Amino acid sequence: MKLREDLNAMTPRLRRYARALMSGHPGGSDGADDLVRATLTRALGFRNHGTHADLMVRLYATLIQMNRDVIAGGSKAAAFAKPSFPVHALGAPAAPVAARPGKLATSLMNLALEEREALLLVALDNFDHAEAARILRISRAAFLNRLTRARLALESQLRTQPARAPDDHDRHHSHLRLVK
Amino acid sequence: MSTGNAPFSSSFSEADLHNFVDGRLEPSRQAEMTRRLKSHPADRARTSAWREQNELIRATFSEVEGEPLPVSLCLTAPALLRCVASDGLPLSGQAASLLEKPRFASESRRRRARFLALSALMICAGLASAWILVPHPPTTAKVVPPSTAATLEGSLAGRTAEAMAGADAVGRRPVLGLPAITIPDLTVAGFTFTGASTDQADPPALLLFYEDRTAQRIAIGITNASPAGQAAASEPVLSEHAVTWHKYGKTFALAGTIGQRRLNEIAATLLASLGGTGKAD
Repeated sequence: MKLREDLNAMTPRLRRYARALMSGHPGGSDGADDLVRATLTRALGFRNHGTHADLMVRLYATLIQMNRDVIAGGSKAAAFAKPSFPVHALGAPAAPVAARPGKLATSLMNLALEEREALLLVALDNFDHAEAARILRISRAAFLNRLTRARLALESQLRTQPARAPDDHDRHHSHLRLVK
Repeated sequence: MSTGNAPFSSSFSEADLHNFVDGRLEPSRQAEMTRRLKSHPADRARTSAWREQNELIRATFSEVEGEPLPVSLCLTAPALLRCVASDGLPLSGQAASLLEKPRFASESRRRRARFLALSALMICAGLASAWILVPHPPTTAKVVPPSTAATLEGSLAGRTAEAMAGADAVGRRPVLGLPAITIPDLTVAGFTFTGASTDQADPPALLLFYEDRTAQRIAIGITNASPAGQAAASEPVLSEHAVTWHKYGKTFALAGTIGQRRLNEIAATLLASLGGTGKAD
């Protein structure tokens, strides 16, 4: 029961990460919930999950790996109980959903997956760099490289994308130079 | 994706800049970094932009964490009740109390409660067996006053959904007047029988619990009563809490953490499997 309670406590945060990770993809919200559900189902089988922090790291690592598995060609799509999971939509950037046309969603979607994973772990979920490197199963140096690439790419994306709506002005980046 | 610019000047390490942006430098180093950045406008602008990225990302997704979870993501009874409550379904006082305090203060109390629940279940099973084996005059379906008949289905459906959420059956006692029924086999639908319980409310209900490989759960509630003693079978009806139907003078309700379509499919499987149970009880 303790594992279930711990997982329950972590679910809202995990769901937020999954939503951000799949932001801008068609069916992103439902797909994110399916991804979280599949992750929790797998997590229920965890043995010796260690401390709360260890469980958190393992949970995020599982979610990220499952998302990659799906993207890798749907070979493990069976891991998802719902066959309606939009496997085909996750591999490549797609047109943003009309209901969520935000500039950030589009910009995140245009980042490479590994950069998006790294950036969101730090910027959204406030993991320190060592924890994030553990989650991604890479060295700290490799993690910092990804984080740098992600931040530079997002900076570029946010700067160069045209505003989509009058209230979507680029107030956050007025000080940045336009690079052509 | 890179802009092609050097990320930052050689005055700062990559790690230091990221730690500065993410607020992970010690306060003394943070101040020193702020001071040094004053003489490096490009790096200052970059770190400022990255901080704004962090703020933008957090602001964009901040509401997700506060959203009510869908039932399919709730793994424990109290969490499930929160999910049910957030879906706008009413909760009984007993169910609502689950939200206020943990039911078990320690592991030893939990084990004791499990032992009591198991004992209650065994006594209940013994009484049910005796009731089946001892000859008794044919019982007529319990006559429900017309005024309460309309609420019977809703009541059973609510009790079944509620029992499913708190499926450990702690504190329940054996109840007379339970329906005698062969436990339906739902392995065809992917669900395995995990236990049974009783609900002492009037009319008493037998509650059967199942779970599938993905930890999805369903509960079947069965009473010996049907609206106004209605003995004819009825088609399953999806109500607020569950799928309900009548057969052989009994009322059935099926609730679960699965979607409505799935519930309807399992209800159909149940109806088919209950076909051979006969009318005698």
